[in-house]
Amino acid sequence: MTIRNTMKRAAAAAMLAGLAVVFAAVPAQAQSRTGSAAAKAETSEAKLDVIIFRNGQKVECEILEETDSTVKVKIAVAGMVAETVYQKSEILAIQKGAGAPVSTAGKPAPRSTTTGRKPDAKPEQIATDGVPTVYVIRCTGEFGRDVSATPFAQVIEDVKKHQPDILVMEFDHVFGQYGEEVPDYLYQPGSFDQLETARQLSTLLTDRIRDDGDWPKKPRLVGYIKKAMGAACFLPFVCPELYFHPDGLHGGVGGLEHMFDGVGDKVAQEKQYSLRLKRAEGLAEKGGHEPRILRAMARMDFVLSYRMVGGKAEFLERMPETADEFLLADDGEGDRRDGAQERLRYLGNDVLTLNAVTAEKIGLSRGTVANLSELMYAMGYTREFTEVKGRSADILKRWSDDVNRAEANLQRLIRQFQNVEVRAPGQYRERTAARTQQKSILREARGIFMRYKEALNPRRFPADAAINDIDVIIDQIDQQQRLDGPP
Amino acid sequence: MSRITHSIRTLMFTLAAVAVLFAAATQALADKLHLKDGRVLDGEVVREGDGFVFFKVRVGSLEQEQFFTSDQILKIERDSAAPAGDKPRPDAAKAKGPTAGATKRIAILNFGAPSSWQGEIDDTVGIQVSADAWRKAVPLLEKDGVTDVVVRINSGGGLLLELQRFLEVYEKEYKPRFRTVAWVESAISAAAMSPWCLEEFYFLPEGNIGACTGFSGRLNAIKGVQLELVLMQMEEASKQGKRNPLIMRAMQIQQPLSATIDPVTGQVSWFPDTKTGEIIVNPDGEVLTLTAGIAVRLKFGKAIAATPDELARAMGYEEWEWAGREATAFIDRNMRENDKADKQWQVAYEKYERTAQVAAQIQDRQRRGAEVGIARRHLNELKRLFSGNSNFALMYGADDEWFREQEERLRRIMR
Repeated sequence: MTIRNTMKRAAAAAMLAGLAVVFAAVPAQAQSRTGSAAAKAETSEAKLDVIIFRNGQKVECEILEETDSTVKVKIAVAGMVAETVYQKSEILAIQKGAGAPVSTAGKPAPRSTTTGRKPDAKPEQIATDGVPTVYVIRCTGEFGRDVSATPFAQVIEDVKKHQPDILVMEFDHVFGQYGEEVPDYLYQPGSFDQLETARQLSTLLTDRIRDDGDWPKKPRLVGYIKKAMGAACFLPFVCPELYFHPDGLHGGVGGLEHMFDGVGDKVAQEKQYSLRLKRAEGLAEKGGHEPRILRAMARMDFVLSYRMVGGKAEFLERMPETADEFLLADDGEGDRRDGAQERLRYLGNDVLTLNAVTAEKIGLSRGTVANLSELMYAMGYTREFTEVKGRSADILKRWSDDVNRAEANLQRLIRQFQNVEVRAPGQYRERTAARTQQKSILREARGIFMRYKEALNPRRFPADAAINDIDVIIDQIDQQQRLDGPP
Repeated sequence: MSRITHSIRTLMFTLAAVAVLFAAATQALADKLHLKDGRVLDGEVVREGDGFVFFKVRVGSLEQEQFFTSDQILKIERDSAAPAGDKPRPDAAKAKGPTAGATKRIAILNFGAPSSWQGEIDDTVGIQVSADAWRKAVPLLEKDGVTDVVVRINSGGGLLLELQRFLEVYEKEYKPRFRTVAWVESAISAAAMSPWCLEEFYFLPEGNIGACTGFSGRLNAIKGVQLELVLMQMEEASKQGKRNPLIMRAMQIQQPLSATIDPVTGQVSWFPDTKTGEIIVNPDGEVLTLTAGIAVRLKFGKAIAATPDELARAMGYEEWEWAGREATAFIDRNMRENDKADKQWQVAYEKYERTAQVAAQIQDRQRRGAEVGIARRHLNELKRLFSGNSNFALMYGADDEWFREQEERLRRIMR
């Protein structure tokens, strides 16, 4: 059995979908209009352009200006008309004149909520009165522990239920690893070990939403950075639009090129740095961001400056040479090495740690906003909006509590296992009971390891090794029982 | 993240590949290669490109193909009947190109679990990702009338010994039958090298490929003859994939690399330094991994495609069918089974070893027999795991001989 997929079929489906929209939109009395006059009226009417973004979002707008890298458009949101610029790297396709007719007042029509909807899709949950809906996933705690694949998949399922117009990923993480907090001014190259978690979550946030047919309306994905340091630094890069809190910090993964100092050969070390860095940079490219920003965050020996050209940052892989060039990260060599004073105040530049001002200057951040209202306004939603009250906070909180409880329980079970004693009179029956108790404890611990292994502190609870050990120990206990035998 | 195992068997595989190269050289050798170190080699320019030459040299009765970068060469005196260069063979890719008649039937096979599997299994080449399984998938693809195969790669690397097997499977089994293209999420180390003979690489937006340095243990890089052999092996794969070998070389060792894109023709020239080319691709002292953006800009990658449909369009098709689901399922199932076997192997081995040791100490014959029976059960489990992937035997030192020894050991315990 194969899945048939042809352009002809797709075109036919699109046409049918388009017809459905037209029928739904045209008032009953207008349907009686027939003949050439009506046809003429339609053909002579200017149509809006349609921009399809890589994240699946479609926008109907009027294209004002187009360069090699940007498209300037006029767009109407919630009745307000505004001009905005999109990066072409975020855009999958531009369909000129493929949108709804421009209204008689010459203003673009509001963004269609049915655009891109499949004919057989489930009804959307549209907010009353066309007010845009926003779902905020507030990621707190430690990335990879409090926010990991299992709870995040549940959160995405909850978002799907609400079908918001906008999905905001708020990053406000503790800078830490394995439950131990790290001072903001320190580097944490070991954060790259959590890169795989970020890669996995990124597919939930982007590909799964894009490919899920039960998700008829793809939300506009926006990242809002309060604190994304260390392992939390990577995931924001997949968000095509990023905004910063005034106190926002982004980075903390410096010193990658020293991660394996003293271990093995230099060429093998470089291999390890290269694969980690480029996998991370791949996330930045996926989000449409400049990958060298991430490189400057990670490698101390990478020099990056910028200058403004036509209102846009142009990056230079060298030290600034003129007054209109600005340093982002130097090589940290000799007297360029950051002192404690600079690092403590986040003024160091051996590696790049972005704050709101710099992030906005270099174009990674689209704006600096203090709260959700300001964020929505900055995104062009100049009037009211509705924040969906989803369950994400509960899901993440429960997971976080469960992980803490799991680690406490594992410690308790280890103690219990060590303290299992054969009761008096210590005969076969008592020995059997003790072994049964030991196996019961081990099975409970195995269950905890299996359920929470993605989030447990690998230094204290190395799950994969522990699960294997438990299987071997249980077998050993069974053997002891066989050899003991009844009297 | 990546495991590359140093092994004698690897050396033997590579030596075998080199022997094949030697055997294939039969043409007259009449060019002269003058090197900057003063040597003058007689032979034949087999292939050359921007910044490199493959030169076939006669050493005694043997002919050997060697690779030189342009900075090593002083001049070339040519006496070949026909100029060397990229000599495209009438290959399957061309015959099965976008313009070929009927609707294309495209299969996507996973080389390593995609990230969307959420880390369900590991992705080691030679363990989870098996060349043997890819060979066995060919009849399933043919049965379903598949015309095009997409090798969707997401793997952090693996065993060097699996490399030649994969190169042979793709070159000999896939390329003659199907238009075979790579679609890269992440192809690191052996995962980049295994499909290197494919001529078309496409990328996911987050795609990356490279970091092919071989190492064993605690980052001990392969050196000496073994390194040279792997470098040569990949030069051959570069030739098969019709791409400049400097790219792979920069992925394997700290080979600087730069490139220039001709503004008129768009042709990319590669240079083994960071000064000649306009674009620094691999800085001095680093190992190259390309991301999707630069890979496509430098025409290493054909296009970036985020979805299967985008990929099919990027491959030049307007009409196509997704096919080969049985083969896709077979490969996925094989990866899952190999992963399970890899994780069970150590436990099964420990259970077997301990049971056998304890059995040997039991005086009572009946009880000893019972324990030997259990030990034999564990040994059979190990054999079952062994049969799924012969690399386990190599990794854990349990080959046929080891199994025979264990059978004998259990018999001795029962005496």
